[in-house]
Amino acid sequence: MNVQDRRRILGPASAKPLVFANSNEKQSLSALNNDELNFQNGIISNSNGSSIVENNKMSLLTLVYGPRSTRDVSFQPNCKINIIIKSEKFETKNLKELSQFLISVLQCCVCLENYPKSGIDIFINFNIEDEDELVEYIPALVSGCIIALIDANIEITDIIGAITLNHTAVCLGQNGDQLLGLWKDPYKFNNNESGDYDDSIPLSEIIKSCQEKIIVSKQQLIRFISNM
Amino acid sequence: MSLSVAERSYLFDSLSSPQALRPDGRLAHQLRPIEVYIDFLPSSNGSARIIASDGSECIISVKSKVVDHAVEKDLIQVDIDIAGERDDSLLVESISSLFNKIIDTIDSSKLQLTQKYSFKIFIDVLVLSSYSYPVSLISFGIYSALKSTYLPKLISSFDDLEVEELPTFHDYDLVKLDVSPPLVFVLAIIGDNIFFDPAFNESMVANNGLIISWSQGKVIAPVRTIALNDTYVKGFKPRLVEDAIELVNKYAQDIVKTLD
Amino acid sequence: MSNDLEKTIDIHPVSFTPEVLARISPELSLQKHLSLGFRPSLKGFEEFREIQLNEDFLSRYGKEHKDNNIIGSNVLKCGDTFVVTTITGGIIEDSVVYKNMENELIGVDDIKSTDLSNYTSIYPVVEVERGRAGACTDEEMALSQRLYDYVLYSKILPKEALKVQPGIRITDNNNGNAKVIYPDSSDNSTLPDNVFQISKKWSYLLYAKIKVFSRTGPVFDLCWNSLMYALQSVQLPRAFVDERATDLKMTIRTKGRNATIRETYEILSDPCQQYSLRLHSENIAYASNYGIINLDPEAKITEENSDEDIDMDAIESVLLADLDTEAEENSVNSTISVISNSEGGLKHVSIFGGDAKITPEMLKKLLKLSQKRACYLEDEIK
Repeated sequence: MNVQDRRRILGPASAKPLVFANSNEKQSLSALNNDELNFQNGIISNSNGSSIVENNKMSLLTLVYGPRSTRDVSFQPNCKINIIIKSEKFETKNLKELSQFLISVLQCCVCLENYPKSGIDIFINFNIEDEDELVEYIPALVSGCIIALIDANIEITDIIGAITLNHTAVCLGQNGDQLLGLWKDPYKFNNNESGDYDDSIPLSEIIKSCQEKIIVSKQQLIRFISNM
Repeated sequence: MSLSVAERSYLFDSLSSPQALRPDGRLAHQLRPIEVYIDFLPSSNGSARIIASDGSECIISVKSKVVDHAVEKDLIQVDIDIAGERDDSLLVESISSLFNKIIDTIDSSKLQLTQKYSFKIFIDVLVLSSYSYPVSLISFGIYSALKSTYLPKLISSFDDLEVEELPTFHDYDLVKLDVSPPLVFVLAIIGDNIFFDPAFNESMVANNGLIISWSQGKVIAPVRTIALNDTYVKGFKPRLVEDAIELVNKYAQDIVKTLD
Repeated sequence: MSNDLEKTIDIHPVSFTPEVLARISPELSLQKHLSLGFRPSLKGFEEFREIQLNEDFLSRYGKEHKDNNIIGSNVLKCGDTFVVTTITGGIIEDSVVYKNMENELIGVDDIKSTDLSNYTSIYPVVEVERGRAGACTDEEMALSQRLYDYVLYSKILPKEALKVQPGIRITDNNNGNAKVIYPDSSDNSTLPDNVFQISKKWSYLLYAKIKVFSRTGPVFDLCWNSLMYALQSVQLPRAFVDERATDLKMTIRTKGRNATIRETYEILSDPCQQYSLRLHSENIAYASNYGIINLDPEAKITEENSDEDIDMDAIESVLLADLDTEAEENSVNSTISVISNSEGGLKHVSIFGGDAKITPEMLKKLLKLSQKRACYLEDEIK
């Protein structure tokens, strides 16, 4: 089992990463909570489309390459979407589960049949990741993918959005009439936070409040896209 | 194996109509027949082999180890292997991530041996063949395997904080592991209809899929949507989630009874 | 047949827009541009791209309090390209304490250890984002290795600066409050002397993760400069061990039933106390790159009526600073990479001969340019 990465310079194997003792200052973070997302597009010149979505807890860079040819030899009538998420903080396994979820969501709105025999590769880099749970990133991830896809001139049928509420991410299309994706994670109780989570709220009510909120976030997204 | 455009269109029309008829004549909430064999691996603490009617097959082995629970936080670990898929493929890694989240919801206090030590359970899943999304099959298998798991009986004292002592076990007496593992259901949404346990041909025309976990009488997290194919995927009416959860709540108890 | 021969055939010259020409014949496009006195990127021959810095806002010591493990960072934007460098730390137990012991044994205090052994390097991993997944590319491997070597041979990072001086966390038995005391703090007079007698020694290790986005040309100098800026922003956290751990012994059972006793320490980093990494700042230098290319006399756009014959023998070459764009990267074979400080001290020079005519004047010129560039880059951080 002594597999060593000979391609990268990783330093001595016996070293341990720095472990910071628990600090008491964690509260200061939530004090300056500004959840509004900021968007930027077209910054990366060697990709077909790109976007940066950030607020003060996260910064996600999304790159779209494609539609480009795939290695698949057999004829594919539809375009294949592939998403790779890179993060220093989260386990690859969990990131892959999230990318499979995002692929499912994007398949609902990208005009796959317009790009036969091709693939769209989306690379998402987490540059700032102060949020602890993956589910909190889903609204930013969905917006980032949509802006980058538009930036790459890929046809989509709908500007979709996502809202995370009570540890549940809900992706909605057609102004909230259609449910495109649902992601609810079991909640791990941390010692210092337990306040804003209530397990007793039924899923249907969460979806209802997300339907109300989606309009506002979609308007913000459309305002940005129309100025692109 | 793939379906022609005409086959798919026929299937979609018959499954999305108000009087939906499933190709194998099942009711909407009916699962395919499964065969389960337990305890077929003599060297494991518990094992199960589960075969679905379409030939999908999965074997599960449960092994254990004594660990210091102050050091090891995760006391149950699931490892998934699917024949014909790379270990780092999207399918394998996301299913294994999902199951580790599901397994985390099991109350691990049942595994505590002494004040210092606990059992750590390793669940190895090998999917030998599968024709539809295999999470439901895997979860039934894990359920049967854990329910048939016997662990060695502790004979040393429970309170070992003050004494430097490793747990010792009875030579041949075993204790049945008493846990209630969650079940996972896959539901296909086609039009406005919901179907339990979609077969391969039903998956190919599903508009969306729902993964719903259920434990001890109620639906629990994780709940997910998943695309079951890459041609028919689209959104669905939000109220269908409610209906799906209701269906699971209604029939899951019967399924547990059958598995037991 | 005869009719056919008499027919005149019109040959229409095919013309392309500059963008198309740049794709299908980058070499020709470059030569045409150079003959007009500027480069495809519309820069002058000896003009560098402007840089924008975003110092250390990613680390835990940045402007907003963050709960991550990054202890130094830099974002460098140069033209379209941007480089994100984050530095994280690690701690390693020094297995060899023999240096002092050896000196005592031999009884010679002034053993001349080679200078280089007093320095260490950072462990860099470079990722150049170009829309592919999988194993790292040759370019990424070469970049990482060059960064590692040059940091080491530049003697920037003294081992001394990475020594850990652990404090002790003491828990008050009366009220259960824990506090950390360091050997150099003022209020440790009340403690017994032997508290800080820990037989083990530790060192910090530094790891750099360098992500390059929107690569448009060679990126070594961007990575190097970003790494230099990031290193200068590094703050090392103070580390401590728990009081109870200072005399902890652990029994380990081996197969032969021999019980061996090993001391173990769990070393933790202090979230609130940190100090700046002491680099050998006089050795910090900045990188720049150059290319030399022969001008193709045929590509020269001459005035319509000029009668002078083109002299095919006299080859002219030009010096280009800060290579960028695909055309330059692919067509310029003679490249020079320089790492220089603002006083003109050279830390590294590499010259790939290629096919161009390189004159001593050019080399002098580019060394001067490197110094100027280093001055500019150094000023950016102040």
